[in-house]
Amino acid sequence: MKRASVWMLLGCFFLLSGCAHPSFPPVADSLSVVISLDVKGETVTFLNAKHGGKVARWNINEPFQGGALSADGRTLLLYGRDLDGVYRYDLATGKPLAQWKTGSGIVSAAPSPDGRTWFFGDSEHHAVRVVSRDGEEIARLSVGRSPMTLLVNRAGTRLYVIDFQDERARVIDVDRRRVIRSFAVPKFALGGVVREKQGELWVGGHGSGSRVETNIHVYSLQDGRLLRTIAAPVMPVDFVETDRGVFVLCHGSNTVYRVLPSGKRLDSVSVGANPFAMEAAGGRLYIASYDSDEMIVVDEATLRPLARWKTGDGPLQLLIREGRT
Amino acid sequence: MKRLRLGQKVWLAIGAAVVVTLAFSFGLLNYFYRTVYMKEVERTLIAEGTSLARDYRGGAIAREYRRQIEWYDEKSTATILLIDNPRELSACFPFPVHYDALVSGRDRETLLAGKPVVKTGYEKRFGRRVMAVAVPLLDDKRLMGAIYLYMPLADVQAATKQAAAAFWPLAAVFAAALLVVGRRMVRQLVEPLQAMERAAERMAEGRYEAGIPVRSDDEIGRLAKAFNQMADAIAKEDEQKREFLANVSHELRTPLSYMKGYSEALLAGFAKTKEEEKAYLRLIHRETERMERLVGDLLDLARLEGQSVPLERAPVAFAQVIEDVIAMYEPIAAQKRIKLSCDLDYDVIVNGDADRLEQVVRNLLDNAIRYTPEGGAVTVRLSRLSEAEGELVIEDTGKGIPKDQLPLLGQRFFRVDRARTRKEGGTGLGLAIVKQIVALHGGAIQFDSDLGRGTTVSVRLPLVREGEETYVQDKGTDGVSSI
Repeated sequence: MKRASVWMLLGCFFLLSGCAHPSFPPVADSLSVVISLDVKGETVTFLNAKHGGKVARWNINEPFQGGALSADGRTLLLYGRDLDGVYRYDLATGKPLAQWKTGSGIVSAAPSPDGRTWFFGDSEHHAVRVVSRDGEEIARLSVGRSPMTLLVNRAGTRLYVIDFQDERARVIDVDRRRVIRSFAVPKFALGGVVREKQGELWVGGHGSGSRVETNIHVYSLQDGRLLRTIAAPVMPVDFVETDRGVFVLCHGSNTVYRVLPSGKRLDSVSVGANPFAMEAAGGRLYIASYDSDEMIVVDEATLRPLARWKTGDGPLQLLIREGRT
Repeated sequence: MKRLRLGQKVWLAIGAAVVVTLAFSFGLLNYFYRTVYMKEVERTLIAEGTSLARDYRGGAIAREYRRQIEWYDEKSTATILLIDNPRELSACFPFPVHYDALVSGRDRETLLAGKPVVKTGYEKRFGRRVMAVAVPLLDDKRLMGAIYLYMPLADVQAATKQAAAAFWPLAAVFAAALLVVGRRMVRQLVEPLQAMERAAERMAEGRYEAGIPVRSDDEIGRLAKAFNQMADAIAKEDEQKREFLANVSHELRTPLSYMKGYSEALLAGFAKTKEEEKAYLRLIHRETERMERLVGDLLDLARLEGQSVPLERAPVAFAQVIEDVIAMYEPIAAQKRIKLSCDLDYDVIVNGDADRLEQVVRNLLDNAIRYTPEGGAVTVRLSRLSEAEGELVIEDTGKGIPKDQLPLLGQRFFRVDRARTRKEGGTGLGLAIVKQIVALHGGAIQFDSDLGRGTTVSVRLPLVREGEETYVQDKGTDGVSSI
């Protein structure tokens, strides 16, 4: 009887361990890393932010499409339209955390600046879902069919949802949990930057049909009016604002433009092959080159390429995690 | 269902063979066009595209280069596009931009690897089926554009249609020629068979002339020839049968007429004296004997021909048999003052039926004595011709037989001089019986005669050889002690 119990316990153990997601090499808290989400190869590559040395590569083997870091930089979230939930990993241990059962259709994610809530764009329910840091859904706000771009203001009071298909952007009052305004944007709009001081929302995109997008559309944060357009050929899809200006990444022309707050294009650099994502940290710009499976490091001040670091197959998004001492 | 005739079957088989051959040829033609010709078109498009792509120097697509491609497009049979719109190159592939690009996301991967992409099928953009080739314009890892060459499949398949246009008239001529030749062949094959069928039906009705035309020397021709021969043989046999029946009835009627006439005379009391009455009765008795002989001979002949009574073979000292018969006939010869002489080789041993051999000698000697006039001579000789063959010769000095009638000797009821023979008491079957017995012994008979100078009959018979004699002795069931 005793022996039978032991065998049953062992069986259960193997069964559970078989079902569980495998753990990955840990990424120490102290390290500053650039995280490349390689969607083609279904891997996550962690590179040392200073010299580009490979810290770890996680073989996720699931069709994720994007990810986000928690405000404290300890948890990595992965999502995808075809995944049945949001996958969570603890960076310091490399271990998977309990999966959030959101169901399929998640196409974007953003944490609130205070780290207490998460916002998820859901293309299945055409909603933005507000989730607590414990994974409990707090609210579900109806938006368009494909809320692929989520931008939060610095205070975390406004959430700007730019829809990929419905040609509309919506402004959500986070505290009151409601959409307070919506305005028209071009079809297949993607990426943007909230410039609170100037009261502007810059929106990029792919362009629709055979017409490719060559402009950045600037809207008023107050009333959603189109204030002006800034020429940025071709297909501006990612934005980073630093003290040196707004950097715009155009994947159609493999170009990074530096645009002054006035909207004047200052200079540009040709980078990568079909780059989709850009992040800035420590005076550098990190650009994910999708077709060449690498990351290009550019000096923010001079726009001179500094290095090319190898990533996994098809890096579509970058995340930067600052190390803590 | 109506059953097909042989001609129709052969005709159908030829037709089916023609149809199958043509269909197979057309299928093969199509297959070669699809594989060989299409492959060739594909190779040409790739070669042209690669050659054009070689002129790309990297960086943004130069206006000069674009003009060059446009110029080539005008000259080439294929349509050539220079694609540099990122959208057409599926640059936004990870995002669902819902655009039916000329280069799909998967094709983009191939192009990024520096390889050309080949597509065959319906292209929505052009609203038709095309064969398209895209060759990448790569600047390091950047896919700056692609040379896109396509040909409507209708153009590619026009060659197939041209081939088909030439193929079908030729095929029709070929089929017609084949059918004409086939028709002639069928007729040649079937006509003699149909003629044979008709002839066989006529023969069933008793008409034996076949007359089937023999047109070829193949199996059918030989069959027709054999059929004609068979029909002739049957006709001849039928004729002989009729003649035989006529002869038998005639031979039986003559003694019956005698018997009827004399017995009626007796009954009517025409015989005046006892002597006369006796003479009548003797005549009736003589005719009865003749009928008995006739029936006996007929029966004998029938048995021999039907082989219903097999020969009882044993080694026979033929000279002894001959001597016995001569002894039997000596009184008759003496009565007719005929000189009967013999010269016999006593070493001649025949493997045969002694009784039947005696019958041969008796019939021949009987004929010789019967047809030799008084004072004549009959000579009997038995000699060994070789180790394997012996010969019996009976020679007479009778009136002889006309040369033209020699081949007829041995036929049933054949008589050289009908009236006289009947008077002499012969049945007309003796020689037929002899001929049959000799044939059954594996021997041969030959007649030679000069009219007015006599007749010579030679009978050749196979002999028992030294070794065989012993064998026969061992195997023999009846007495062979005399040898």
